Amino acid sequence: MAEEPLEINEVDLFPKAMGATVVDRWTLSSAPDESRAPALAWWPVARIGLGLVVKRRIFKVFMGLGLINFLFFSAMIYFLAGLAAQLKGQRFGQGPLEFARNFIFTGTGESYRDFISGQNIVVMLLLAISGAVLVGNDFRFRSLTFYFSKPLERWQYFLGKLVATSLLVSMLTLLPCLALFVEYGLFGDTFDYFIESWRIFFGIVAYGLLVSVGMSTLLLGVAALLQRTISIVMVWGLIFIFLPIVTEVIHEAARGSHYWKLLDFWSLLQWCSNAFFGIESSLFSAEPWYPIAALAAWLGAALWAFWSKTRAVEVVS
Amino acid sequence: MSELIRLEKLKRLYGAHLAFEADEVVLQPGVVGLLGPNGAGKSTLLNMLMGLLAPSAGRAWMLGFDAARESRKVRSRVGYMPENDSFVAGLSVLQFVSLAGELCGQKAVDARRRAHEVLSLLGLEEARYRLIEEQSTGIRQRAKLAQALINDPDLVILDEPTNGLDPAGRSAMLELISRLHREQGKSILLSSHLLGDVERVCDSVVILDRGRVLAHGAVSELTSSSLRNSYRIQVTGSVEACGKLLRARGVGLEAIPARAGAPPRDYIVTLPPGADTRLLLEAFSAADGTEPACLLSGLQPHEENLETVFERIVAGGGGGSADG
Amino acid sequence: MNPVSIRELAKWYGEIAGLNKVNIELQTGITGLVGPNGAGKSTLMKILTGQLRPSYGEVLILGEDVWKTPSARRRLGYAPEGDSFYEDMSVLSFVRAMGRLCGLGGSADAFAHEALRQTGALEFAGKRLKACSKGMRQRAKLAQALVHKPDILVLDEPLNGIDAGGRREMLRLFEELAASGATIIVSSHILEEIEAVTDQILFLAQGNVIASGPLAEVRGLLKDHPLKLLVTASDPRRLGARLIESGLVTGIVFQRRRGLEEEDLVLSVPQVESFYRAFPGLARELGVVVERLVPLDASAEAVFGYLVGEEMGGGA
Repeated sequence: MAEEPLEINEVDLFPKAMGATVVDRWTLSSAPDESRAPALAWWPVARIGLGLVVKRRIFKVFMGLGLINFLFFSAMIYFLAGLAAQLKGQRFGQGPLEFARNFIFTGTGESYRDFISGQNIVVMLLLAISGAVLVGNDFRFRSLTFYFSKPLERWQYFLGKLVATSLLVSMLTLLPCLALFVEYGLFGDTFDYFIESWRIFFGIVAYGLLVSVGMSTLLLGVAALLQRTISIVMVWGLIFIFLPIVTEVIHEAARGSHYWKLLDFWSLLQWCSNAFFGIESSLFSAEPWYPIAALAAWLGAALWAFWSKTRAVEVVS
Repeated sequence: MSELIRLEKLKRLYGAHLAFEADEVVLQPGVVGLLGPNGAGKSTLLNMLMGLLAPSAGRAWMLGFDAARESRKVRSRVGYMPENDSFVAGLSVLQFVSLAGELCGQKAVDARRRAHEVLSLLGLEEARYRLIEEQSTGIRQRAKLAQALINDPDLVILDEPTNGLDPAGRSAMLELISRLHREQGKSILLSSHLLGDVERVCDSVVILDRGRVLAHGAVSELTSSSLRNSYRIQVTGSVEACGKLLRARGVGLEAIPARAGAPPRDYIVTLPPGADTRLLLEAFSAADGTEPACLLSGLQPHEENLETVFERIVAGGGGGSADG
Repeated sequence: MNPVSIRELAKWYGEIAGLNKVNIELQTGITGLVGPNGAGKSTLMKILTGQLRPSYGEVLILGEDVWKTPSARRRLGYAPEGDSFYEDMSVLSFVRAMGRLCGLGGSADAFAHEALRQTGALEFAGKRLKACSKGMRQRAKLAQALVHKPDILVLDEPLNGIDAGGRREMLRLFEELAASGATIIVSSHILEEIEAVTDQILFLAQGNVIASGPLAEVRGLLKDHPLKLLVTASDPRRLGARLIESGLVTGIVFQRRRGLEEEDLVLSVPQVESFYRAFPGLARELGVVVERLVPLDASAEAVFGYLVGEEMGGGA
């Protein structure tokens, strides 16, 4: 039997190519979208800085300490509110209640000022560490060359660091203080407290911001000037422990002129807080320009120090 | 892109000390080498190009932008890999490279995607999740290169990129650099002390000394003084026998001095006019089978290599530099 | 007696072997030490200079055990890889102080000046180390290694940071010192420089010496890797065919040079001497003009690649 030649259907033999590809590892896609506004280039600096400080174990210790004070105040407010509610309508306990109110937490500017002032030690410690991590390390590891080889201006670098440190300090001062304000007001019967105490609210925000931003600026200047952790901590301690004690001694014990107090940065801040909260204070009441000028001098010096030290290029003559 | 870099009467002084001066230099896109002794002004030039240092006089253009006045635009189109380690402590390689992207204006998500891509290209796989300061030199160098590439720059400036790398790493880095140009079309400005590196990857060079540009141009042009009838040969066996055979055919033989106390390894032969290398082949085939043996083990046209050109130019330009 | 004699040296850190079964005899002259990062080069040098104790084996400098007899180090000069000095000292004071530590008394000053002159550091001798550039510091480091005119020099990456001209000067200096009887061991990653100055090379990988000797001889021993020779000739295809017939080559690759039309031949040559003997006659028969005949993988770098590739089981 003759065999018929096999009909080969070419289409079956070579089905359409499935389109195999081998990805060339050596291709880089084109430039990604540069969609962030150039003016916001400081935000990554701030965010990364914040992250680096928060990662540290000692940060949690300081936060804990700072919160203790907050919890104490918060509990006092709660206690007073409870006491007031209990004694409502009773003739008996009003005296002690008034006493407690005046002594522990008055709900006036002074209390809030005292809370923020009470955080000074923890804030100081926190900032010392932040200074070393945020600025000191940048000098030690030559990060500035990296930062300034990108389209980042110097003021943006400064702003980024400032925002990071200010946020950290705010977490211990401004924000808890606002929380206390809200708590106190909520324990009242009406919202009158909030409406009447707009001045206090303004005082809290102003003082909180001044402490956060002012101390951060001072820190950045000190850290840029000294660059090494131990030096930063020592000088920082000098400014916030040694100087206050010395000026207090000179002022009180040795009856020195009150101008010495201008060297105590913390008391300068407190003077400002009195002005914000509308509290009478004896110091510099007649000559407000002195503390203001002194504060400006401190901050100006810090800014100058930071500016002149953050050059990416070390000039070796 | 027409010109890569243009310098016009660019000058930088520190007090009375001239750190850098160039009248007019134009560099075309490609791979450019920057050579010069220490203290020649390379860092000064690089810093002025990146807009980190203001010139005392004159102007510099990078990719068509004024380096001093439009510095931000320059920095967003140029990648810089510094000589020294320059990191943000506490970050992983990935976080560091992503930060670089964000600083160039990319959104966090885009920056991270791009960082992953660049790190894969450079072969950093698990290493990318580890802290930079704890990594070996090879990984750190590649991380530095990654952050320079994050914004897809048209020009990448590399300062001693093979520093500290072992021979395999060095070879890999140079290959990477070549491919960045060949396959990605990027221009490269390579500053290095190692002439071998420059010779291997650069098309053109700029030679500096004591703050002045002594020479610039294509490597092939600078080294093209190959004397037509001169060849460099290596010989195994009896050199005297070789010499005799060659001289008999009118070929001059001259030893290139080698190290102190060691016999020379290379020789220069000068062919008589009109002859070509077949004369050499004839001479050596005549030696075949005779004793003592004399064998041709290497042959190449006698060209100047970059090292001799560099030496000559630096010596002619006012002597070497004071500090190492 | 060899100036430096290392026998069955081993150093381990807990279980991890930094070095094992190292046997080296160094003669006067220059020996290169090459190897990937982490191979044990710095460890070896530290043991050689008596800073680390060997876990096993002995290291003899001019016949004396360098760990047990500190005075053996008197004839030793060491330039370590790291970069740490007394930053506030001037270069001259530093070198002089180092000289005094090596036993130079009143002559320390003169010797220091001489050492600084040799390493080209005299111009900045008064400068403080912290104000010095990397290249200057490197020269200061070399000067302190030489100041007491040691018989044995151990140099770990000595040219790091030095510019192109300076490197050649330093290499010439090493050659001079070797010619006047010193025993020098130099570790470096820049293999072309090592190749140019050394008499023999020690290849180190994973804590073992995997090869040693003059480079050409080591290359000759790599039987698995026939020599690759590049030939540029006027009629490559005809020449290639003839070479195949002759049996002198085991493989040919035709390679186009960068951007040009002409092809070069890359030959795999198992018997190099026979090839050199026969090649000129063969080429002459065909009448081709040969422009170039160069080995592609006889350099230290290529040899290193083959050795380390083998060490890691063929995969890098």
